[in-house]
Amino acid sequence: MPDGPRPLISGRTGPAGAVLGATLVLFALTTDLPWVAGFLLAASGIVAALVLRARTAGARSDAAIGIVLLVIGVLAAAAPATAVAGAAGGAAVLAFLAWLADEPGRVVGTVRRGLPAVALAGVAFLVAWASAYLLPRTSAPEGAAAGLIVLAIFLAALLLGRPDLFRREPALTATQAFE
Amino acid sequence: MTAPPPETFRWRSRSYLLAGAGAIFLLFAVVERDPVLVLVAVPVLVAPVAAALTAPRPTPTGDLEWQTVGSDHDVRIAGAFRTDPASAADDVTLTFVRPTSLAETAPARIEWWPGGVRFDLRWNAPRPVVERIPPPVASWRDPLGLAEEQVGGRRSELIVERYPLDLMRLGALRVDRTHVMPGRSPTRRIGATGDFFGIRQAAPNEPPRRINWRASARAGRWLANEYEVERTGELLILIDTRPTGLGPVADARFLGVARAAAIGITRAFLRQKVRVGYAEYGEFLHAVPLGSGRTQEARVRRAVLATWASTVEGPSERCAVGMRRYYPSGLSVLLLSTLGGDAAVELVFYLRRRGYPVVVLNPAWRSLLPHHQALSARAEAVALRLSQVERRMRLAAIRAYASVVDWEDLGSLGDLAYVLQQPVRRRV
Repeated sequence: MPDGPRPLISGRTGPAGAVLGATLVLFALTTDLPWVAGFLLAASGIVAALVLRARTAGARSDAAIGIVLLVIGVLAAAAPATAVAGAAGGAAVLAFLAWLADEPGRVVGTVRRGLPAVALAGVAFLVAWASAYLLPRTSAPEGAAAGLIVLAIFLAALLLGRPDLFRREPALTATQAFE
Repeated sequence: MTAPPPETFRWRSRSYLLAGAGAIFLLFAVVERDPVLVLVAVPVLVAPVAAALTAPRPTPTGDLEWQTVGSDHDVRIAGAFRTDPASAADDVTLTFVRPTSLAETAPARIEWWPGGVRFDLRWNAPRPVVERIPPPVASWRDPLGLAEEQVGGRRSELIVERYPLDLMRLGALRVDRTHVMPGRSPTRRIGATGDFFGIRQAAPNEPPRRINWRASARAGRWLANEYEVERTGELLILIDTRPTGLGPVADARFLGVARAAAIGITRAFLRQKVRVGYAEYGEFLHAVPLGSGRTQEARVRRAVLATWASTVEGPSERCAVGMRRYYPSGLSVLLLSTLGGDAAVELVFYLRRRGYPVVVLNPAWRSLLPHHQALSARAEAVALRLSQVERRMRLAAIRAYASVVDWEDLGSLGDLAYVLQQPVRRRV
């Protein structure tokens, strides 16, 4: 390992929290909720999550994740079945995933390293959203169903390509068995 | 020591949280016929799988190089953990397990560098201790914190030894004739006319007066008489590792002290040509037979390092019965015990009953008991005084069967040397 100092641990969160807050507020404004109620719900949720995450560590900080998921779920239930609301909801969830990577106490650059995983989730969302709203003469539920089918095929292809995710123990060869 | 196999992938708790939330979103989407809930559920459900897919392949491995530095009470552990591939180092976390007999003086410094992790642990050994530090658990965690995988590779444990030199300076002690069994009166004459002990194989240059002619004729080989005074001393060091009422923290601290004492005492007596054995009793007896020389020192040291606190309390009589399989009756036994329960008193009683003179080396409880955060300073002082009263009652009960060394100063074995130098069993 080469010598020389290097900034290593991020003591505080980066801009991902602000991005998540902004997308949540945006999502809240697209719902059928009164804008004050939606704004208060989104703002209080993100503030509570940020405070909880900053003050707790380990498995307890998962409560902050639960709060954000709860807010997203409530907003999604109150959102109309429009392309804008769907896109805003997807953006909020993707910002939420990026915020997961922006964890205090980890090596800097975690968000950048987590981008491939967020991008994969974004591709799945884009497929579902496009099939729900952009395909001609289809209703949104049919599009969502088509999106789920595409998602299932996508996941099946990926998982079949990575059997090691399921195979926890290495195969015992005859040579190893007699060693 | 080899690290566990790298195929130890597991989902972290937040991935289950995401999967549960996604499932609930889907359920509500079906009930409410709401497509937005489905769209929101899709990335939530995909994220854990995507996080696992971004794991480096092949599974990262890492080599650990660490060492103990510092002296006296200061225990500083420094080292580096190099990963392969090097790019995985940023997402590798190391989890260290600090033995309870060591205290932390400063937060651990862990630095991530390209290709590896450097760490510097600053601990303190407030009392003599010999501890095995298990290698840290190294795991790769995906950037989203959803999946975790153990990092394979070679890792060895570390041994921390901290004891003052006084623990090694017992002086020229011989433990032969240290203890006289009840009803036995040794002769005042010494040499070949002293007490007969037994018959042994004759040496090539054995004087004719030593040869036992009748026994040699019967056996068909040269046998010689052996006398008590010619024999080297023999000592057995016995550690009681059974759980006590003092609690697991105090038991673990005692074990660290007992390991240090056992190694130091063994080394001191082996230097004086004394035959030393070692045994530890938890649920069953694990014994190293009597022996001498450097090989025996290494053997005892290995056995001491392999001694762990037992979770099961074996019956005291089992220990005494098991001792007869390995050691002759009349052997001096140095018992290291916390005396934290009645079982220790029983053990001394049964050892005496089987013919083993016992010296009990009992460290003071106040240096073993942990600090109670919930108690006020005054309440803790009262609790400490009560524990001292209880300990003194146990010591008084044991003095009926054995010599007791009240080991207050853990940095010195002067009291033990005083007891062992007495020709007959006496009270201190």
